[in-house]
Amino acid sequence: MNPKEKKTIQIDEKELVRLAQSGDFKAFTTLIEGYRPKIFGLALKLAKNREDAEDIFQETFLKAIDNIKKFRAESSFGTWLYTIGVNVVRAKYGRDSKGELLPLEDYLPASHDHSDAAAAQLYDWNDPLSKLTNEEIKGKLDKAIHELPLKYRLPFLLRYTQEMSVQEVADTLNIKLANAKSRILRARMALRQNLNEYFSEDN
Amino acid sequence: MGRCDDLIGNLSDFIDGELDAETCSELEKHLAGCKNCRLMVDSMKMTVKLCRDGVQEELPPSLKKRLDKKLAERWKKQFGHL
Repeated sequence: MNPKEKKTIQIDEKELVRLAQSGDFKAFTTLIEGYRPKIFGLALKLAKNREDAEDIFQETFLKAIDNIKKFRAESSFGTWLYTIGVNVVRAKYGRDSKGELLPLEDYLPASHDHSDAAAAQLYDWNDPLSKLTNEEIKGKLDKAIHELPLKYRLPFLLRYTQEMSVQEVADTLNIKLANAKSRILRARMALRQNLNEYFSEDN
Repeated sequence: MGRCDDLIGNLSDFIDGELDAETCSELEKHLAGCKNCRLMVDSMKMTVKLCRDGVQEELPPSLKKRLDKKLAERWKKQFGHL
C-alpha cells in the first residue's frame, strides 16, 4: 500500500469513527466489517473451545459498541478493537493465566560450541512436512499453539497472524516494547520446539 | 558472534528482516558455519509460515447472523435507534 492510499484509509476511518460516535450504525458496521473474520480466527486460536471462541468474538464487538463514544483515536481503530478483544480473553481466562516458558537458552540446539545434552534436538522439517496433509499440519499446529501460555500466545498471534508491528503488539497488550519483543521470540522458539517433536522423522 | 547463545536474542528480528546490517552480516557468518543454527532458523521461518498459511478462517453464516442481530439490539440500547 502506498502512503497516499494509507492516508486515504486513515481519513476514511476517522470519518467513520466520527459518524459511528454520533449514532450512525451503518458507519459502525462498515468499520468492523474487515475485522470480523480476523477476530474470529484469533478467537479460535485463543479460546479453549469453539463455544468460548464464539463468545469472545461476539463480546468484542458488543463491548466496542458500549465504548465507541470513549474512543479518542489515540491509537488506530484496529488496535483499539484488538485491545477490547484481549481484555475479553483476559477476563475469561485470567490476565496472565498459568504457565511459563523455558529461558531462551534452553531452546538452543546442541552444537559444536553448545553441547548441553538437554538442548533441543533439531531435524530438517522438509521431509516430514512433505508427508503430511494440510489438515494434519493444521491439527498439529493448532495443538502446539494452544500449548503456549496465554501471555506468550497472544503477542505471537497478534504479530504473525494479525500482522501487527511489535510496537502495535505492545500497545494492544499494554506492555513495554522490550517485553513484547521478548515474549514473541520465546513463543516462536517454544512453538518451533513443540512442532519439532511432531515433525521429526520418528513421528 | 561465534556462539549460538550470542545470536539467540536477534533471531526473530533476523528472520523478519528487521535486523541492522552489521549484526545481520555477523549472524549470517555464524550460520554459514553452524548447521544446527541453520536448521533452527529454517524451522523458525517455517513455524511462522505455517501459522500465516492457516490464518484464514471462514466466518460461519449462522454466527454472522447472530452477531448482526446482537449488534443491532445493543446499538438500539445505546443510541435509541438504528
